[in-house]
Amino acid sequence: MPDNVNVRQSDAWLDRSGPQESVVVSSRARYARNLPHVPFPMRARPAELRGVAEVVEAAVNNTGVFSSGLRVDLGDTPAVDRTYLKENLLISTEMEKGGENRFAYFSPDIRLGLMVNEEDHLRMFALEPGYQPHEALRAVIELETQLNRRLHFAYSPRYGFLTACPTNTGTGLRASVLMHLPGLAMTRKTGDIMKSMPQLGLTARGIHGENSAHLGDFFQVSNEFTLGKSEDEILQTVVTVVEQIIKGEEQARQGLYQQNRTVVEDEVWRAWGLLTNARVITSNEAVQLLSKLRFGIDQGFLKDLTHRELNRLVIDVHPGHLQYDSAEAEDSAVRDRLRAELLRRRLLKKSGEN
Amino acid sequence: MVGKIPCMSCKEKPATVKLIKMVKGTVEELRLCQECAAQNSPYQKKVSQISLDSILAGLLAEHQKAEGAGHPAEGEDLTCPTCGLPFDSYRSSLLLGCSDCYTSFEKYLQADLRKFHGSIVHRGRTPESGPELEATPPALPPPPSTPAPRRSPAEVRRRMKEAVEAENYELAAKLRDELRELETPTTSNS
Ligand SMILES: [Zn+2]
Ligand SMILES: [Zn+2]
Repeated sequence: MPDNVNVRQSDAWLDRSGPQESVVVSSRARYARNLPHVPFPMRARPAELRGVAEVVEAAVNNTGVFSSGLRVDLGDTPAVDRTYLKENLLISTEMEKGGENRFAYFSPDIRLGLMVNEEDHLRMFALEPGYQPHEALRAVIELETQLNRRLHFAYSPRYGFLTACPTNTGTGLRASVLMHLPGLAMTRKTGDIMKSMPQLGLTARGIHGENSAHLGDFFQVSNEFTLGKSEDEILQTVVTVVEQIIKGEEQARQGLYQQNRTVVEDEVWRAWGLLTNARVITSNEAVQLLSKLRFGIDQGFLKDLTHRELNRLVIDVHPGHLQYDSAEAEDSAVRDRLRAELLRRRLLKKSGEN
Repeated sequence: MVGKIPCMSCKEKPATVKLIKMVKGTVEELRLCQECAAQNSPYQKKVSQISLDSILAGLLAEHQKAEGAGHPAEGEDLTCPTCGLPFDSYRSSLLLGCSDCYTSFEKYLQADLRKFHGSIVHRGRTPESGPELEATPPALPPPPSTPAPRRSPAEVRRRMKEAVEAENYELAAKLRDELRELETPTTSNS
């Protein structure tokens, strides 16, 4: 495995297109697994963490899944690289903090990933662009099976796979779909939808998981329960609701275009105007405006832009990405200026409009 | 305070209920006693129903306490022998120390698992046991079987609810005591 990590390789997943990408950014399935009897990472001593990391690495090498991919030693990786990976939606906030004996592995196409010594000994995921939840589940099961042929996982016939937090016990599965819902947001329906999530056994989070706000109308819907249901049942719960939301979003957009086309056009082109003319712009403002452009793509405005490019821009305007490009961007005022430059460069190059 | 104002209807008992009513487009605020309120509002439950509900709620709350949204009995020093995690630490962080904690704290964790998932029975995939693994010992010993209680807490809880509904408070109280006994930890792992 290459020692010289270039976290830019992890952009690979953003460069792939997927089905229904006008509404769905990505589909993900993750499994939490632990080694039996060894203290969970938050309670383990350094020697135990090292032991886990070694055992897992041996298994990883043996499967070959991650060979010629990325291997990141979080304890030995600069903060700017860690933030880059976090902003690319590939490692958690917890892993972003760094720390000895913590590792992350990614397949070359960044379709598969594994975090070692996060909250659990192993957190593995499969990530697909667009709406492909079944493919993501299939892929993570395949990865888990490969690793389980080489590693024992803590398991109880009664409670299933045992995790550090009992909210993950059982399957250890989190199936999630990241959606972009500007239509529902503009018609003020997202609030109700999100409020109904708990009754449906689901959770809705923002783009960066956990407690982040729904910035830019990105919503990540995932299952709340992991025990008492099979993987297929869990996925079915998520898929049923997500498909309704997709339908709702499509209807909302259609309604908006039909009834308020001028207003919608105006919103999109104003966003374009700001994004291509601003000299200073914060990441929050940029994401909100990019969200409007992403919305405009469907109806044939902005012919030269794709959803994929917009996804990429939404990520690239994050503070860590700008700092990765330029050390100067450590200063937030400079960063806001560099962000505005990046947006003009990228958007105007893509389009004859100005 | 509301309690000091006399009921606007019977003008006797203290008004304990504030009722907002729409009368011909205007909002009217009524301050009534329980009894009058029950007669006055289609939304207000009948008095007997209210007291039943509150009794039941009390019983269930006690039950939940006993079920331990999970506290070991006072003075019981519960720690996991494998990782040394005190149960209290789990209570505050929601993080267990090792996979054996599931056995060490099983009695209390069950309530949490049920609370989080609505179930405590795994129905997902089971571990792969490939050829490479056959020589090595199994992942985790099965959890020790707890002696079967005379009646399951769920069963007692259901009967208790029925007893309350039938206004048989004597039986309900007896069942509550039985439930407490069922839930009281009798072993210590320290
Ligand atoms: Zn009265
Ligand atoms: Zn333990």
